[in-house]
Amino acid sequence: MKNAKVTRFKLFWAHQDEEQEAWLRAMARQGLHLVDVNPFCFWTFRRGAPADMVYRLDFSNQQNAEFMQLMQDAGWKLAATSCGWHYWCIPLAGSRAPEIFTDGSSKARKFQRVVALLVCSALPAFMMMILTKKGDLAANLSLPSLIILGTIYLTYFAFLAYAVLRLLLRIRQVRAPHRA
Amino acid sequence: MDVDFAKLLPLSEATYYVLAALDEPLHGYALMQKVESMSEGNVVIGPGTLYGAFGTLEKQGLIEKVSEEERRKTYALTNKGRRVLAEQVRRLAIMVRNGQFALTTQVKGEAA
Repeated sequence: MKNAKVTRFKLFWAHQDEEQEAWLRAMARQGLHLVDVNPFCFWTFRRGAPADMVYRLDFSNQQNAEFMQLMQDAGWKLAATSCGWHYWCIPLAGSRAPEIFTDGSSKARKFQRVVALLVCSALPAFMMMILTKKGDLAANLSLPSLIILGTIYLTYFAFLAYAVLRLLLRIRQVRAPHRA
Repeated sequence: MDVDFAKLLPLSEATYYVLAALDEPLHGYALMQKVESMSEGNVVIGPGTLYGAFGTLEKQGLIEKVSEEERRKTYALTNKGRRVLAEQVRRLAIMVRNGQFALTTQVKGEAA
């Protein structure tokens, strides 16, 4: 078969788990089944028969053997893993789409782990910014390089702040008991 | 042994069913299936949520691991778990009685 694999580039924010799940499900309906995600947001799909697959995301730093077993027992298959995100899928059987997390606090915990990781990963850069003597920097660097350095820092922190803020809003949303 | 009911109750619907289903030792997936069937489909517990609940309930001493094979742990209710479940059932029985009473008086009120 020609072109058995298809690669797409698509960016998502960390709080957009439902958007990713919906997109992956739509792809599977076209016969494109997720096999790999890389950290630069290139998604690889295997061409196969169209199927109604439900995708669900989990985030954890380590893979727990007991949890993996429980997921497999319940019919879930791990399609791909990238940067701590686990992309689980299961064929839709019946009318109710299966969920990995069925209450607000366990749904929220997934996002809390992402927030913790993002904040921790930003700490070194943040400390460096605070500890650097601004006077020395101005004396040793030319104006253009100062501007470039400043822009890089500002962009990084702006992206980080937005990602964390949206995640915190998402946590508040999943904690609310209304969503079925 | 004194149990701090104020800290543990009320149980969430999912936790309540996890404890109620453990009248026999079960591993995770068997418990998920049992909860769905005994609640007549009203309560479905996802594997992620159940896995977290096992950890919490074990830490609280309400359930304990009784065996482990092929990465599947089997849990059973402890004495403390049984007492917490009993207290929850007692409170729920009062709630049900009150609710049923309220509904019957409302029906009579409408009829009059």
